[in-house]
Amino acid sequence: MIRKLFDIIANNAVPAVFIIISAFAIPLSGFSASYLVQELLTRIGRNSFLILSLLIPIMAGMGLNFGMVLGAMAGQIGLLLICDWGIVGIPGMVLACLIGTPIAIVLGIFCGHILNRAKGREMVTSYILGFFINGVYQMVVLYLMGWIIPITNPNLLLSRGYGVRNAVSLSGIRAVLDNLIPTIITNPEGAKQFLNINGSGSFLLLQLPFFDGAIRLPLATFIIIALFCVFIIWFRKTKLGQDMRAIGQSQSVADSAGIPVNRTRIIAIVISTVLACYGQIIYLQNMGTLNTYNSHDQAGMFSIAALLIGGASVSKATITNVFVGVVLFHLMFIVAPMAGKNLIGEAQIGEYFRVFVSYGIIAIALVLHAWKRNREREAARRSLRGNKGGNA
Amino acid sequence: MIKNFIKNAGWPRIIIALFLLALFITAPFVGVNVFTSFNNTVVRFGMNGIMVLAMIPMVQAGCGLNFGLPLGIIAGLLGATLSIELNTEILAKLAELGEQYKISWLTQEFLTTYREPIGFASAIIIAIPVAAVLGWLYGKLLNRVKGDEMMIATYVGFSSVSFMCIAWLLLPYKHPTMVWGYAGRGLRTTISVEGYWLHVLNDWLALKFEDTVKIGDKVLDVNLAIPTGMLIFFAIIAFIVWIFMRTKTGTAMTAVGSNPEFARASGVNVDKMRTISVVMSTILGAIGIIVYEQSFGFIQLYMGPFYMALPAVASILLGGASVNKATILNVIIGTFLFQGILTMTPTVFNSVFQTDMSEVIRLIVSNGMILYALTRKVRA
Amino acid sequence: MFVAFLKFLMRWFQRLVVLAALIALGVWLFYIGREHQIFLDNKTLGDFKALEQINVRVNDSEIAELMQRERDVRKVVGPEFEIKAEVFNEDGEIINRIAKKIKINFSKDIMINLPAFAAGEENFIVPAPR
Repeated sequence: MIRKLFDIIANNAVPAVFIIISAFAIPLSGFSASYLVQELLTRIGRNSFLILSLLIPIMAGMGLNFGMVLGAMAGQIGLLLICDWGIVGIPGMVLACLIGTPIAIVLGIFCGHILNRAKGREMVTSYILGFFINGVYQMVVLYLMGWIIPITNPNLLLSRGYGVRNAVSLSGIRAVLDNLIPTIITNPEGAKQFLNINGSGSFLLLQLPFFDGAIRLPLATFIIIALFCVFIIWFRKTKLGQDMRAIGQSQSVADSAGIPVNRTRIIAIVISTVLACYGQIIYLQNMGTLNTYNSHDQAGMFSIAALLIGGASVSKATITNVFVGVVLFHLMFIVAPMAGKNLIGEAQIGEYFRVFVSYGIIAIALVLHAWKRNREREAARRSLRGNKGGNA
Repeated sequence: MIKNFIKNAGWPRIIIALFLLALFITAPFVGVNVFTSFNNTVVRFGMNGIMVLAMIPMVQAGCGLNFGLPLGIIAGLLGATLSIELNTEILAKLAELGEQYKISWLTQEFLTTYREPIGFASAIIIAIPVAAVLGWLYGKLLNRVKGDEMMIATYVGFSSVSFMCIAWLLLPYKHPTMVWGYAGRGLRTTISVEGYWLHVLNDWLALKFEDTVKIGDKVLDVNLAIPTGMLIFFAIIAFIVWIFMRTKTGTAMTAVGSNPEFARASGVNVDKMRTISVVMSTILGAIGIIVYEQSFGFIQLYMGPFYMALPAVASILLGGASVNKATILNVIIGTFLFQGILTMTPTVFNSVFQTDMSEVIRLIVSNGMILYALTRKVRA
Repeated sequence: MFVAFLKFLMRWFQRLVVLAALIALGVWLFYIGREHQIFLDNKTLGDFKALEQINVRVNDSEIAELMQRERDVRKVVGPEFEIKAEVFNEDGEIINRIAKKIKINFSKDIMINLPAFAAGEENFIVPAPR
């Protein structure tokens, strides 16, 4: 009974701690509810796709896919090319996805092969692989682009003639998906005001009587995310999905059941990488600027932290974890710097605090998972030995 | 025989070694002074050597590569900053002790002449117990998570660096050279050690050789500057590690790493050995960063130590180590190769291509090496 | 054996078709999504003298009022656009009105020489600057 209670607490400890911290920090920060809701809605739209891409490798027992950075880089290359060619709007975004896909597939296959050679150490390996491919990406973007890879738009290139600039404006596709179906949520008062200012133009207006302020909702993005969730639920039920779950449970059993373990693992990583590619494009179209050398760095880190905060573990993650996680993580993200400033007088503390929490949460989740796994292993071993004791 | 050598060394290492050789050979033709490069490589070897040594205990004990080296580095940073903060107090205390216990050579004059080595020594002496405590806690954590050590090590390292970022801002340091001038509180991002223990080891017994040598009808300007002190210090620490690995505890540690069941059956306390290896590794990391700082000239706080584990890991792997076996020879070869590449690439590439590719090359080489090691089949 | 080979061939054929469709999609997106700069140049070109003043509107953009020797630029998305122009003489009277649909296809930027264009000349498209 106590054990069960302990287990429940251990499983949900992370989100619970976060809720408590947020409960303190929100009033401290002094942000209004409507501001927070608006920010959260924007961030959910921006980041959920990336986090959802992590679900499939976890299902296949490959742990947290730090290699999603590879997909992010593929997406960025696609974006650089459409910026150079000057393709704008939805066609621009779709074309970026189209270009990024084969690159992501190749990178995903590479990643999958490497992970297959490092079974049992997937997470460290994918982590280091992320850095390695980052080096290759920088080589391509900083040296080959503008030289061997033709880039003609001078806004993209560095002054020396080759190599891409640090910050590339994505004005062509900025908020293109978000504003595809422009939606405003407000109360009837605000609705009248809004209609007065923005007389014509098509947008959806949702009127809630008690609402304070006006909030823009990126409806098209949310629809795409919802479709993706449906895709994941459907995928779980397909043969491929079942195979992956079997591998996640036990590789040896899956192997003897005739499932091509190595090939399926590679497929899992490829799917994850391609989805991360799309996720990064969605993220960047919302941001509006591409930091060529930095944007992808945090993609993996923050997505994994958010997923873990949502209560997922290295071996089990559900769609609920994704959304709970993105809300809690970004809530803290928004609130911590101001809370730190109001509490101690230095906003910098809040910044460092949220970095610390991001890494700490991953560390805690990894430790809890490994601890549990070791306990189970010890228990199994003890039962095999027939309770002869642990050490001798 | 050559085939065996290739199989043992592995293609990536051979490629990198040949690459380095090629760089050294092309250097004079592109206007890069071979001797300056060599000097720089030797200095960087000394700077990083001890931190690479820190990898050995944990690898041998089966705890994997110590991605949590930042923990030891933090202990070293605490030692370094405190040695500057409390410099005057320490010297005063030593003078007091000299008088109290009538130690003849511990005079004021002695303290003034040897101010720098004393500062350096005080940094190390403060850092070691801190490192021991941190390492002990860290070791206990790693014992609970056998099998996932490397991943957790990475994030423990990251979390502690981020945590210390907050600490560096809040801890009550007061020394004017270390604290932000405007606010008067909170440490600066980089702190110079000039005037305290800059180049303490480098300049001790340094060998400088400048001459112009005639070879046939060509004139060669020979210019060697070797930081003997630092190399001797490295040799001493390496020797200590070497001796330790041959003591009863050391061999028990290796046994735990290669075959934990057998070690347990022989009566060795596996967990205790692992903890000891982690403590050793953390202490070496602390000493290593202090040696690095005295050569580099600056203490780097905040996010400085964040990625510092990666070069050390890459170096030892480059030297031939694997995830569960590492020797001192690996350390020496690996550090030399790695730092050689780091020194030579920017200078040579700059002269040839007019561009600095060193950052990108460093990323690819160091992470490629680690990848190679991680994907080797482990002997069961 | 033959059946197996046919199946193999069918699979690869299907894959080729899908690949071709994707490439076609990509090309189509490129075609309809490209943003072009239309440079409007009111300069003398050969026998066509620069006009006193010409007001140009590209699709629904702001009207560009160009005096002699002036140049302006408008952005357009997609392979074709409509251009409406009104030519003025020294007294401010409209002496000509033109409306035309222009196709750009795969070029990036084009420059329209307005005097030639206003005169009804066929080749009024001139290489764009930069």
